[in-house]
Amino acid sequence: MNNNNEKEKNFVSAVIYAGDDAERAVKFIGKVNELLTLHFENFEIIVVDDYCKTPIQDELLECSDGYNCSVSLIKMSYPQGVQRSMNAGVDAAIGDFVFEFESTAIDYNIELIIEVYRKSISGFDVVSAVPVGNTKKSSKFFYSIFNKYSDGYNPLFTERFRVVSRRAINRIESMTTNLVYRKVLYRNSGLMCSSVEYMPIAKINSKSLPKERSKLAFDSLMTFTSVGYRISLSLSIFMMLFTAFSGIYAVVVFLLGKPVEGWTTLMILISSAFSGIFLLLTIIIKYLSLQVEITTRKSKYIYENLYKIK
Amino acid sequence: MSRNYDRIIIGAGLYGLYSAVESAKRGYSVLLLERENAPFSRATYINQARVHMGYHYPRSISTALKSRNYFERFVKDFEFCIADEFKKIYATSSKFSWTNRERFIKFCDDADIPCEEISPDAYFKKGMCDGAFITTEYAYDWLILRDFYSEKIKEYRNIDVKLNTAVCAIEKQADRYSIITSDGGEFESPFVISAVYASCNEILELAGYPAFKIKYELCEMIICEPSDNLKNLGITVMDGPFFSIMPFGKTGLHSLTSVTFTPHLTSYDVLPTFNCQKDSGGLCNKTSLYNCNICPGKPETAYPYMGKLARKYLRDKYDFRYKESLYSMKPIMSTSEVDDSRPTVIRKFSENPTFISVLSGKINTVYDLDEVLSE
Repeated sequence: MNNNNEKEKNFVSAVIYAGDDAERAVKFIGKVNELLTLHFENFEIIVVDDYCKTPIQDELLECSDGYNCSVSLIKMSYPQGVQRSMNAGVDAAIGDFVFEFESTAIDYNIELIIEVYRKSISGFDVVSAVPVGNTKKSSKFFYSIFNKYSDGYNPLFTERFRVVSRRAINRIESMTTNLVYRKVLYRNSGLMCSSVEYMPIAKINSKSLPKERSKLAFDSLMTFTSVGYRISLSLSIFMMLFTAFSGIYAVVVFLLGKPVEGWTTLMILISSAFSGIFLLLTIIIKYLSLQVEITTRKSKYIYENLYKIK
Repeated sequence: MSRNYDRIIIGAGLYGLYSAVESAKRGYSVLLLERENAPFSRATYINQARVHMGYHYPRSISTALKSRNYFERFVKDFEFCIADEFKKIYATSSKFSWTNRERFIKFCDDADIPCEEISPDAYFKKGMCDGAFITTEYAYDWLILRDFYSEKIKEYRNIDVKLNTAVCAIEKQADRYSIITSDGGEFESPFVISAVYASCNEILELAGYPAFKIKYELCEMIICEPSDNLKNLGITVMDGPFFSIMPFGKTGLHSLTSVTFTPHLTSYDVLPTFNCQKDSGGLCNKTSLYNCNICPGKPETAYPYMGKLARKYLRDKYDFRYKESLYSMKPIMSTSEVDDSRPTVIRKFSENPTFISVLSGKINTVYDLDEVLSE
């Protein structure tokens, strides 16, 4: 598909989270540029440098002659994680459709990007590339909990990248100011979502930090599912029953007139109750901190500058 | 045999013509040199024709105040070429902006320029802008202004104009400068003004003076046909990688520019060095900058990007259609990167004989020249 007249007329943007491996990112950007040149009349690439250990700006400038589109670089002021960085990238994108690449690792045939796009224009606002098999146990556990307790009717999977329509971006923006986990919001946007499954052709290692992943998982479970509420409810009921039982026990002992020392029982009661209270407080504090963040944080991300590479 | 003039002015843009006429009014004999075949062939023609009141510079109060102070005088002096019948909206982008609604209101207050707040939803898609304001800003019509000056210089018999004439050499004598031109002419004067905008360092190098610290941007401005709803509107989104669409003088067309996509190429060299110069067929090089608008090496249009960016913000009813692209070279002072200021720099390199180079900031700061012209 080299003839300009046969190319797609939709303007697409590719937002790429550079990660810590600048060399891999530059290779990936080159591949995306080549592929999109073949299939699209107009497109742009937006790279987000999340304060990486190996800054990518100079490497991009070196390669800039090879790019056939506008290439911009958003430099974050300090590391803010994949989600916030992607928020910044998508905000800067102008395309009708936006490819979101949260990683530059490739375990798929590059043509899958076009396949995902084609599925999108067949009537889906959000289409994800989903690897089949080889999912991490921790991810499987997270998604099973998430899908069980979330209100969304579209289940979550491990995704490698996705394409979203401008309509979907606008929709999630209007749903919340706190885009803590884009994937969930897209799935809950009420728009048509789909996925393209593929068999991974390579093994990739996740570069995101376990701390960031677990924080994201915890925040997502607290924000988008009823897990927190259900744990609180169960604990409250348990403690209520336990307290009631203790009360009845105390009354019975009093009525039977058989005083016991009661030291052990009392200690069990106190320690159990306090454990429950602390756990409940943890959950409540987490909810409160999320609320504070949502209501007080004006900007979703802090960036240093937006540079034009080409 | 060289000819003598009281003043030689290089460059027939607005700054050059203004200098020529003001000098002639004072009785000086003036030679105006222009390398193109007509005045106003480059920067005075190819820019957004904005008569600034200062709104464009929320990070540089000095530029804003200077623009505001000259605004009324310029509008009064050049009233015949001013398009003022349109409503000018300035808005602050919700994202990626260096300013916001509150800061913009404070800035207008500090600069003492009128600004009436309106709902952004009237012009912009939901959530795209956090503030929108009706402002007072006009556009000038370059063609009417050129015709005015073309007639004006005919009124003065003490102005000689040489078109299609580039400066090849400048030599400083004891009490005058000697200038040799591309047609073999030799001219002398004790007072030389260089008002050549993007070629300022080229001329300074010929004269042996230190260059301005500038970067060069090869810029594209889109000319488009506005829809009926957009016809009497000018819209600028501030302050960062956004766009501006506004009437292009009195032509009935609109100009469209964007901070990200208007500059195609950038050169940080003392003299403008660009890859596209090799595609110019020998017409352009760093010591002789050709007119980008007619250069065979000019880049492909960035309209798909600029149009898309504007449509991302504007409501669908404010649509427009591409007509043509105009290209020009823009010099930007290196010190302007942070505050986005556009000072008009007038630097006197020598006195008796006098050599002045002007790097113009905005069209209505042309009056900054009065001080040196009155000497």
